[in-house]
Amino acid sequence: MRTTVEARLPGLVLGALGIGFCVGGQRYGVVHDGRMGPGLMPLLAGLALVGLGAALAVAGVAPVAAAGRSPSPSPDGSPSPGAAGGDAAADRAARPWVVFGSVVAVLLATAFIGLLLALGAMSFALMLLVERLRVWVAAAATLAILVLSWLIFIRLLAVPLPVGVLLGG
Amino acid sequence: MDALDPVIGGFQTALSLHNLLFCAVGVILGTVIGLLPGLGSATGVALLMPLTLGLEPVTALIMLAGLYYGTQYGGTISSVLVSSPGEASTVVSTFDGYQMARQGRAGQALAIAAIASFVAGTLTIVLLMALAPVFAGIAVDFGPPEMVGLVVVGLVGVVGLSRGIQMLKGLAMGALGVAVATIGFDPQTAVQRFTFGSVEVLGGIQFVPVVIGLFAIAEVMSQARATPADPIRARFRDLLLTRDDLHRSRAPIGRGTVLGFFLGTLPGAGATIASFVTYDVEKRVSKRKHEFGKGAIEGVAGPEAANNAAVNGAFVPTLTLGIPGSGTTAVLLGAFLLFGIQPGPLLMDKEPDLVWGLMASFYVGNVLLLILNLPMAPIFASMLRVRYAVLYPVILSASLLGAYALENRMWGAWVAVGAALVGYFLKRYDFPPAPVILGLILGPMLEQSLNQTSSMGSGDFGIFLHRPIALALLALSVAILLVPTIVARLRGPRSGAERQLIDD
Repeated sequence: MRTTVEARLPGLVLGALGIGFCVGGQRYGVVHDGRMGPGLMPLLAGLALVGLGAALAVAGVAPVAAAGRSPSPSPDGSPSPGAAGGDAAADRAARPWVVFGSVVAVLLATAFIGLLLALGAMSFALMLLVERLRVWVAAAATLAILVLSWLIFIRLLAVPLPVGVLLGG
Repeated sequence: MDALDPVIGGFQTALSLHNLLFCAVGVILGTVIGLLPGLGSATGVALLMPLTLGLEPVTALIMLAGLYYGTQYGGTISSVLVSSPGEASTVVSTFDGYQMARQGRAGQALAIAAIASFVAGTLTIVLLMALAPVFAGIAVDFGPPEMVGLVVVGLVGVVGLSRGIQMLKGLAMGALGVAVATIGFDPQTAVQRFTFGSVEVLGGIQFVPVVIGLFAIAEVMSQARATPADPIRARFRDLLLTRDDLHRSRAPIGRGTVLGFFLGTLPGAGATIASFVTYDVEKRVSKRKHEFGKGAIEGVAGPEAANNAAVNGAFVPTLTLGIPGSGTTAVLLGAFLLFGIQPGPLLMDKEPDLVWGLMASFYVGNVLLLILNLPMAPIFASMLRVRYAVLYPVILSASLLGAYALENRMWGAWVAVGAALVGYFLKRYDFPPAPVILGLILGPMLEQSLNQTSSMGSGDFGIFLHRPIALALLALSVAILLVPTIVARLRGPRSGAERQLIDD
């Protein structure tokens, strides 16, 4: 079987990271006053990454099928009878990136509307627009998330959550 | 009676009303977290860690350990009822547990799982209490070169019994964790490493936001693609076991307990491997081989005993040597550091109340779990009907709030999101995330010990050649890497079930 570029990518990325740590380690100094210097540890870890990355790039690491809550296989490796039919739906393939984009958006919006409101907006948007839940279900669940978060983090743990410039923070 | 004093002291700590309450909260939350898809024990501990910062260290650790226990019980519920394990160590329970459920015996599968877990947990706590002081006594005189050997064993051991490409992946992740741990101020020389002028990075990369990102948010990203299966109902009256069920389960529980505990003590082996090995053993020794995979109660009892026994076994190296026996104990090890407690050979000497209190709480937690799980399994099972569409915004919110709350700055949340992106790709290429965390935790310990060793030898690492224990530990690391490959070559090809071994 031919090893594709995609399969070599993880090894190459790890190797590149390793080279970065090696170069940094050399710059910080491997020896200091006749003893171990601040660069030795990054150098050793970097060398390990270069070696292991190279081995993985040569062997090739194929990406696995979409992970998820599909039922576990049986002992002989065949699919379980309870299998839910796979993740064929095309829109589901994009969901990981929708989720990732949502959490990045929360962090960016925090400076303006605060962390709690940003999380509320994210939760509501995900449930309504991505999961297509009914408006009242999404609203009730969002309200529950906000109330619980407020109770635990602000009331109980007294964490000073950022409120954002638009709300006077 | 002197030998029993620490044990009695431990039970006094664990049975105080305050600690009992938090132990109960831990085991209930653990059961819920364990049964919900995409929330394993490591994620649960990571998510809860920021919430325990206001507690006494012993109380916080009792609660987190209770959560670890609870996830083992909870994971079984989803394994049996939806064939979708909430916890990697209960994957094996899907083989026969789910088949029992399909035959209308879901209650019996859950009941035997709870009983097996309780028996194994209870018996192995005695072993843990007996062995922990012995291990700690041996390791208490370790100097820096021996600590280097010990940390290397821990780092290498996390690849567990894997071999070939999976071993390379595990080692690469451990090296990545060690490399990332060097970011920030060097404690010896105050040199800034890989900070690129950023003030935020000066203190280094905290492991808790990384855990939250790698385990919780990355898991949500992966689960977002999946289609859920409908759970099978479990009713209270179905929980009653027949005399034949108990008779058939007795020996598997015994074997699972012993195997699970000793496999659990091996660094990196953990509950998942213990449950798979036990299943394999039960299948080999059973007179009803043909029933395995079709609803054999032995296939539930043995692995369930093993995964709980392995949890206790994993605590032996964690508490006495500072070397985690599993992915979750690696995260728990981080909790020790969060509370300013240095895990390692001196822990039992310096913090006897904490260590013995924690071990005694395992017993209390097991009793609580049995009381909760036998009658309340159907109630917990009803939580499987909560739609993931509602659940994952809760996980994302808790993740970002927890990552922020750790240091009250947005940097933690950004680290978590960055780690989530890395974690998603790790999952996509089937890289185990646990060694990254272990590298992050053990990396600074390794650097400090190497530094001290370097000072002892005036810069000459040839000092290792004069330290037999350090040499033996380094040789053990090499053996951990080579033995599984050699054994596998001798044994021949593996079954589909064995290939399922996942890092927990």
